[in-house]
Amino acid sequence: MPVINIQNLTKYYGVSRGIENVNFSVGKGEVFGFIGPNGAGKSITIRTLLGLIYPTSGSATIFGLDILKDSKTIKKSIGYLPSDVNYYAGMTASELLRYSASFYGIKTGSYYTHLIEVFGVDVTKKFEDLSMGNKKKVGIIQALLHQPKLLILDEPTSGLDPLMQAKLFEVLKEENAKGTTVFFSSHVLSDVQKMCRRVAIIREGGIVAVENIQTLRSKHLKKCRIDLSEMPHVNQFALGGINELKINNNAVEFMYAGEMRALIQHLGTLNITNLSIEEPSLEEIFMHYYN
Amino acid sequence: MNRSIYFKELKLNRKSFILWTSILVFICILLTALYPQVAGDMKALLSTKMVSENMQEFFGMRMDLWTNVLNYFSTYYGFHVIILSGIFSIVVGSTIIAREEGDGTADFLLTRPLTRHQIVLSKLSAYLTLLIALHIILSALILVMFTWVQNENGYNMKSFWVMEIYGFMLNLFFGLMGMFLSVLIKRGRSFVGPGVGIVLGSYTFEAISRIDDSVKWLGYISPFYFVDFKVYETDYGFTWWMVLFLLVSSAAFTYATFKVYSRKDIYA
Repeated sequence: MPVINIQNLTKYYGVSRGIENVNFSVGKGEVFGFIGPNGAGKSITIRTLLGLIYPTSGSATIFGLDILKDSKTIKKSIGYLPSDVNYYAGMTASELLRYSASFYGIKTGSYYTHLIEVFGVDVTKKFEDLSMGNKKKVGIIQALLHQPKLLILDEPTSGLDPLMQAKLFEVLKEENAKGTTVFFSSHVLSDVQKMCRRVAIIREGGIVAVENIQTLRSKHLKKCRIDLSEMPHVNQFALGGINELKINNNAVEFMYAGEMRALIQHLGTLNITNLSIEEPSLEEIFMHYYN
Repeated sequence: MNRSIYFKELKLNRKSFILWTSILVFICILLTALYPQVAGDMKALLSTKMVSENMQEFFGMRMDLWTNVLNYFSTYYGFHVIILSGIFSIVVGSTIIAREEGDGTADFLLTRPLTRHQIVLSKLSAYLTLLIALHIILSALILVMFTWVQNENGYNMKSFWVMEIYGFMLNLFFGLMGMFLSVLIKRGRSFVGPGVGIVLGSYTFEAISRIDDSVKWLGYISPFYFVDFKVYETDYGFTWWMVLFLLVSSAAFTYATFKVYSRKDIYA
């Protein structure tokens, strides 16, 4: 039985589209990526799953339970980290975490202390006095504190420095090893690639693909820019994997999906004066992948 | 009901409660303490016939009836005390649920293992506790002050409680109406300004309606029309249709709040 199963989930705001016929499922113990540009419908999907907004049509289950009828039972086993963490300004981080723990009937014991040590938060400070990164850390701790079976993380790395991002990934891997399913929503492809086995790609409110991350990786999509000593001819770039070729005088730009060794060998035959190979933006991957 | 939410709301509103209660306590002490002096002055003013009966009605003065401390105090109670406590009630009622959305904390609260009914019930209970506590404190204080300043005419204890219960029901009406209106508003925008306007506007409508029969209809759109603070009238007591209106409308606001909030989309 899938942990999350979404069928034709649709949300309209009057006539404007939120999400439309979203379908995918997440298996037990998976680290599942949910990726799409801002405004694609990631947060609407998550908020619908969590019962914060009501779907126009379609249905979804979590742990086999209906998200509308069994919302309270489902939430006992969910840890949620929103993209923007807003908690009670007048509360200290410690008060907030204890307040959160009270809803699950748990005491803040050794695991609480462990999480505070791992993320290095001063819980005596008022939430409003914490930096953005520390607020995010408090958000992460509250999501993990009751040791949920499913973690729903919306842009979990935003606001965290690279060191803390690495720590978060480490903790998530530990939790996943214990059997926790992780639903990882982000617009940062590299974050999703680091963590997830499968990924659903959402665009303009609809799921455009649910891919194994290995399939995405095997495409080795790179954005290449080269300058040549002389004006090149199109035929010089007749290598399998080169797409979206643009030649502008001596400058050439293209997307490459294939073996890196083959590309380097091919480029070695050209009189290159400058070369840059970089990760394409998410939008460029979309363009490449779905055109 | 959830105890954590209930106690958190009491804690969160304690400063506002202390502030408003202190203001009202000060006003009640001041008004009752002034009774012996003011009653004498009003008696003198009345003898000059300078203030018309319409003016007396508009300002709720009824100077000729200040024969005992309750009659005197009731004219201020229906204005100063009820307007201020009404503003407190509508502000607390309209922010207690909506603030979660306005401050962005609704995402936290609504993703805990709770039903929305539990959330509304817990917050409603906290609001009721604050309102009841305010009225108990004020009633106790007023009664203590009355024993100090009353004259040989004494006062009617039953009339005092009728007046006090009317006041409580009116405040309850305002608070529950505020709560209902606040859940109708998208993204929990602040309802404090409109709330104050509703209380002051309602009072003004009802006050104007008392001036002349041609504008009496204005009173019907004000909840002040459905309470009676005229303790000096010989047959003063509860009027069943007024009580029924306040109770039914308060119950309707409560029911509608539960219904609307249980299906409300919560935005980030």
